[in-house]
Amino acid sequence: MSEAAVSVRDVSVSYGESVVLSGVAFDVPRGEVFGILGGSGSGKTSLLRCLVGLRKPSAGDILLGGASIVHAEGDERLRLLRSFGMAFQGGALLGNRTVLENARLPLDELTDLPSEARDAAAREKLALVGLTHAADRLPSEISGGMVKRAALARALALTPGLLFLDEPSAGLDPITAAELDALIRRLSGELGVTTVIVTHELASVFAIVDRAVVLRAEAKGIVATGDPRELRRSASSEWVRSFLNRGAGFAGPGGGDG
Amino acid sequence: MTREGRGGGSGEETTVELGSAPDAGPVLTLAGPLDMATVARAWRDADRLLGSAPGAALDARGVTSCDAAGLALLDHLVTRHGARPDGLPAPLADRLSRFRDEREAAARSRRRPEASFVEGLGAGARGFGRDVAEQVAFLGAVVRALGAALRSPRLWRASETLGLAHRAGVEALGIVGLINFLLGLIIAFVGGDILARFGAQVFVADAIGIVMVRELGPIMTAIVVAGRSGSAFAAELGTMRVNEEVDALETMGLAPVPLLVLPRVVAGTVATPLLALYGMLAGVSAGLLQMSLSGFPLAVSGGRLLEAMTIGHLVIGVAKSVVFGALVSAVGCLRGLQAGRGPSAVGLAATRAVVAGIVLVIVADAVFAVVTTVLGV
Ligand SMILES: Nc1ncnc2c1ncn2[C@@H]1O[C@H](COP(=O)(O)OP(=O)(O)O)[C@@H](O)[C@H]1O
Ligand SMILES: [Mg+2]
Repeated sequence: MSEAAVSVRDVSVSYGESVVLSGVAFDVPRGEVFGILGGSGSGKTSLLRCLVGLRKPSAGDILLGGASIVHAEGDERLRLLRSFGMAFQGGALLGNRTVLENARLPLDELTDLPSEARDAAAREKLALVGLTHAADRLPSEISGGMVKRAALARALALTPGLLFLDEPSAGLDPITAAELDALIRRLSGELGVTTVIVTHELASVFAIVDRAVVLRAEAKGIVATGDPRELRRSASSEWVRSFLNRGAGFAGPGGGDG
Repeated sequence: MTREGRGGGSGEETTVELGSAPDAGPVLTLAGPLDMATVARAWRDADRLLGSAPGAALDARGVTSCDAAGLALLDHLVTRHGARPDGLPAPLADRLSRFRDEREAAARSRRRPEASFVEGLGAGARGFGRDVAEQVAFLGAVVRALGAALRSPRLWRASETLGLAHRAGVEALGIVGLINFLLGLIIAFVGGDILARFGAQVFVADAIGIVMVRELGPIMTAIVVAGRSGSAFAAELGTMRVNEEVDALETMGLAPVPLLVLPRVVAGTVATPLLALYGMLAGVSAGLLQMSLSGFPLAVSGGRLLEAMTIGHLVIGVAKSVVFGALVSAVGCLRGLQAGRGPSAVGLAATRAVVAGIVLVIVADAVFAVVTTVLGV
């Protein structure tokens, strides 16, 4: 039996007394591009922060490759943290290091490779995201879209089997966004990387997401699960259908009923 | 019958009238549009009319439109004046009851009201206790990181640490020299003035030596380091916190203390005593300069100084500077890592770093005073 790459079990998240998510449960099968969708304020980022171990859910458990990131401590927690890559919405690059140094950071800190090998591995990832020419620039000297791609290169540094991306294409121009989508698709297709992607960009959703959960603030949790192209046509909830049909016609393949 | 009226935006008039029905007692009749343009006036009118007729029935059949402000007025009439809403048309009654539900839900979810003074004191004391515990735990983490670095030289991050030490030390030479020089002058002036009355002006040299080397040199230097480097550390780490850089490190399995804090604490701990030595020199020179201006040749004042200044004073002064430097830079890093979110978080972290740094320096100095007195050094 192949266990899920990520297994979310009845997770609740609250800030003080205000409950944001309650009883959220889903599995992410290996090798899939999995979407966490929903309007702003629906708890996407809160859930993602729990998945990557930055926040403890107020109830429930989260397994990465079968091991609980919620309860792991010490070396086990480090092992889990190093088993995935995470790209933050704002990039979160270290401001006083160049793009290359940022992409090399996990290699520098976590491997015993000689410096030439670390350099080569980091440059390979930069080439993958199309940033070879910007390797020696500081984050403050490149555009927002380049920052996001550099963050993706850093998340890929250790060639993880699991990738978490928070709004990877938000704020990018459509061409760069489409290139990024193609890259994510390729990573999962060729390298078998499982990707969990938080997004509200429907173009990306329909282009790359295999399966998704849709969160809604009012429901404090999941209102639909499944293939977004099917959900858009036949979700039982009227709200989910209209959410997935916003601006239909611009949203790429799979729809277009206007 | 009293009648108040006012033209609505559309020319339609909003009226508020108090009348009475034979079997129902007083009746407040509202008519016309109840909206943002008309409610302010209607509100005042209704308040005045109902002041003398609590528990009146509401008659709103003539209301032609009603927005949220209008609903707030109806709600006010019912809650504050005990007006009876039974005469409202069904759609309006519906909207009013939904409005009241939402208002109550909002009131329930609103944050707790300001705490009382006593509660505030209690919370303050709890917060102080937690703060001290956090600082101790943080120092523990720094010492652990230091231990790890002692075993594995790669963890020293030498070039980064040197850069930080340069900024904390070399770039502060000017201000540290100036402050300690002026301080030395002041002490020599005031001390000379007082001691001259006893014909003991030559002992100013003793005072200058001991005060500058053992007390004020280290303290003033540490305060400058708190203001320059403690705040800079807090701002740097606070910015990293706000930009999620610290979170990103954590998801890579990298702890912020060895990576970000240790180089800064080491830099501050090395730079501060060196700066303090320079400050002591500036202060003492200023004192000797002042003495020579008031007629004591350098041979005399310098001789007194060397006689009064034992190596013990110097050792204590330098030891204090080491501790001050470690405390100021560590608390700067801690305040940065504790920064909240949002635009004011970084500034707040820097301010808190300076305040905490200065407090820690003074407290540590008091501890030194007690310990050295007890030990008799
Ligand atoms: N640090 C926090 N403290 C308090 N409330 C928060 C915090 N972060 C998020 N929230 C609240 O949690 C809810 C979900 O936020 P978030 O997870 O950022 O949603 P999304 O990413 O879907 O826009 C929002 O109502 C937000 O106000
Ligand atoms: Mg978000």
